[in-house]
Amino acid sequence: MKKTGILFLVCVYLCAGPVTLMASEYRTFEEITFKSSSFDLLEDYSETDYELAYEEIDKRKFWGWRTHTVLNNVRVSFKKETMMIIRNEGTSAIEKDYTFKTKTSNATQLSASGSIGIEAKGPIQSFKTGLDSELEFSAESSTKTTEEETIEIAIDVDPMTELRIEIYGEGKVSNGVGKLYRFFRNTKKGGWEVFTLTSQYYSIEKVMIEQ
Amino acid sequence: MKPILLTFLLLGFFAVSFYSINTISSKHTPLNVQTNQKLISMHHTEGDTFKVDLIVNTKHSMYVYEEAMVSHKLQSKDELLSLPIDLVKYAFTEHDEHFRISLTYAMTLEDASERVHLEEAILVIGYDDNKHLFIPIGEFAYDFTKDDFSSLDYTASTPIKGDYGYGDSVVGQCIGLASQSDAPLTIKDITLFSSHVKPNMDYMVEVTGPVNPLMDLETILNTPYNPKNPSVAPKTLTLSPGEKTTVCLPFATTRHLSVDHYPIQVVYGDAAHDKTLVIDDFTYADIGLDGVPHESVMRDGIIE
Repeated sequence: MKKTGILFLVCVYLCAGPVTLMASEYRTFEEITFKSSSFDLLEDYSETDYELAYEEIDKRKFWGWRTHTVLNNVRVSFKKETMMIIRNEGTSAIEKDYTFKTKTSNATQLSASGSIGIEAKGPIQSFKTGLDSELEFSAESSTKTTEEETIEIAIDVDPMTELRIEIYGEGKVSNGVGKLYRFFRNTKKGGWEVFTLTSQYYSIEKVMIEQ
Repeated sequence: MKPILLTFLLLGFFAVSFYSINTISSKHTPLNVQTNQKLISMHHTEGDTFKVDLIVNTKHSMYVYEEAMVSHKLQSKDELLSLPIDLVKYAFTEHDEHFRISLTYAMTLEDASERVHLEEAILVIGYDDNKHLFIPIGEFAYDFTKDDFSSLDYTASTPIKGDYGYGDSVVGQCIGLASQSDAPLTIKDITLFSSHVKPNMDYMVEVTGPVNPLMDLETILNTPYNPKNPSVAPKTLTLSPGEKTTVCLPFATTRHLSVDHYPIQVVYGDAAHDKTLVIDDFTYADIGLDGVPHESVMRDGIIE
């Protein structure tokens, strides 16, 4: 009876689908846009999307992962954030050399749903339970990290004006689903996603402060 | 000695020899150094720095380590002009199939009567065994023009991204301008202090809506554009007193240079004379973050 109860709980856990999404910095971007509206990020997968993708990897396996790739390095554009650099609420202009640092971010970032997990060693992420080595994108994630970038500018900021830097960029997204088999039994399943940052562009804007 | 023991000893000797030969040969891979040729254009302010990324094929060479580098300078291709620079930051990172050396240099030149300009700049690194690495890094410009602090200011500066077949780069610029004059001002020219990358004034357009770096350049210009087209009929633009506007221009290029960091000089005139507004040099783009260099613009370095 006790065994049946535990088995039932395990089944509920496995069948519950994408309960939680473990995500990286890219999921906090203000906007991420695919060129085609038919493409989705993992967080936008519907239950039907998961079911259709899981059908592709239904065949049981003695040991290890079966994976299905839905998007393979599809280009995306994004608006990352707007950084407020200087806010001049005084009555005279600020004239100065200003230095700021852009946030350090991994060029390759991961997300997962269901019972697929992510682990991180410092800034470097990988999928748990060997899924990393199953996916061709995984090898890249261990090495591609961006350095912190110091940006300097000499600038005049008028009274009641703030200086903002808007960050836009482009990247590549791969995602899909995976099932882990142990002795022909499916023990883990969920979605995986790899986001690779390829470029960032900085736009300067001086904006009047609304009173 | 028993034959079986002798056999094991011999096998061990062969294994160690094989491993050593393999290791020694891998450590003697010829060093190959590459870089993306780019426009390095700067406007003089205190503490100016610029960065050069070198891509190398091995870490088993003394020439990739900071400790072996004893001198750094920029020189023109004809070696007539030489510019001392200070290495202020060294970083070595491993990537999938290559290694990246990021060198950040500080300018030591505090004043000059005219612009320092190297159309084909060579980075020269001297080593402690008296050998030198010469590597072309693109075009270098360092300008000392003083801003006129007067009747024109900018409200926005937005790069426009594009790709002309040699990797992502900045291919145009939109600039918000605001007249602070009581008289009409005429925008006459816009430059990046570069000989090879110039805003093409023939195609200057005023835009009314918002612009962002990922918008298509030709859509903004509302016309097809060839970056090799030289400027033949430059447009001007007159601003009424207090008027604000945003203008967008494509860059005309005569060399395959990656463009990401540059100052912008706006030359404008009022009734009396011409003046300049300089938007200080700024990093408008981080390109190649996924570690893939632009293969079409690489040049091999030479160890002499």
